[in-house]
Amino acid sequence: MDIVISILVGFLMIEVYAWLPLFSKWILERAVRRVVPEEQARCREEWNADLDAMPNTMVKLLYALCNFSVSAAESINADFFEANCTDIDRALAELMSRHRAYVEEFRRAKMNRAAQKARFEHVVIDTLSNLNATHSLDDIVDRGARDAIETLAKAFEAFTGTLHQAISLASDLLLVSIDSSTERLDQLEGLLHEACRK
Amino acid sequence: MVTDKDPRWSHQMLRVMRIFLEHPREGFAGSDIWKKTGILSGTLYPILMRLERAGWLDGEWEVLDPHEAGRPRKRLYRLTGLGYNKTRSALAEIGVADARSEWTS
Repeated sequence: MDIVISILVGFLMIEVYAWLPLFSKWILERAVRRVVPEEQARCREEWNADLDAMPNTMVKLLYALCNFSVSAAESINADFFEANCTDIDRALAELMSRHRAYVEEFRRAKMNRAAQKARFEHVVIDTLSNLNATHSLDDIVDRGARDAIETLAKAFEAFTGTLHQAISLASDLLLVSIDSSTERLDQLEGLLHEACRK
Repeated sequence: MVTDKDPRWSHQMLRVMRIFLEHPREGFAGSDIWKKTGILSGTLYPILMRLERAGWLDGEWEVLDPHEAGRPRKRLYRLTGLGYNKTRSALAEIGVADARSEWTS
């Protein structure tokens, strides 16, 4: 009986020894699949190479089982997400800073616009009064020429008015979109911080 | 991907870095460090990846054709100047004497 048991145990040991590398590789592959897809190829190659370097004993199996532990994949995945969150956070901070600079520049330009408009109107009024002083419309005998000048002056006034309205409207619309994008950036930053915390 | 954030020191991380500090020119695979430190592979690989990401270790694939060699390439880690300085400071902080030569690039 003892001889039979010894033979059976011997056969069993041979089988276990023969299947050990394949079984270890199978466990290692399960471990690799727990890792984020972006790191799987690297882990697969590195871990398999190191598994090959192990002696063909239970050490191989132990090595594979240790990699299969939940903590390995969890640590790798957590580090991966943290590194990516840091990158996104940095990019977002840069974007926010640029955005704030543009908004500031635009607000300054909008404030200057009123002063520029006043200066422009002043120049127009000055030019018209100078024109009137040197060549009063009453002095122009030719009625056709007088009508033409009057029409030109009205058209000029209408043009400056329309131009001013268009610029005001465009800048107001731009301000609204800037405010909206600032709000969305703030929301994005909040979501990112929330994700990093998780 | 290298981050500018320093990894948090742990006892295992210090043990890993001491191996590199003892052999600053040598490249080690994960299995070599496993044998030298006895740190289980499930803990070791995340540490190696973290150190590489921080720029304290430089990881490179072994130069060989896996089909020709009949085995996958090992990833070999080497100590960087930054890793050397960080480890020396950490060892000094906890009062572990280290009389190894200065880092020369």
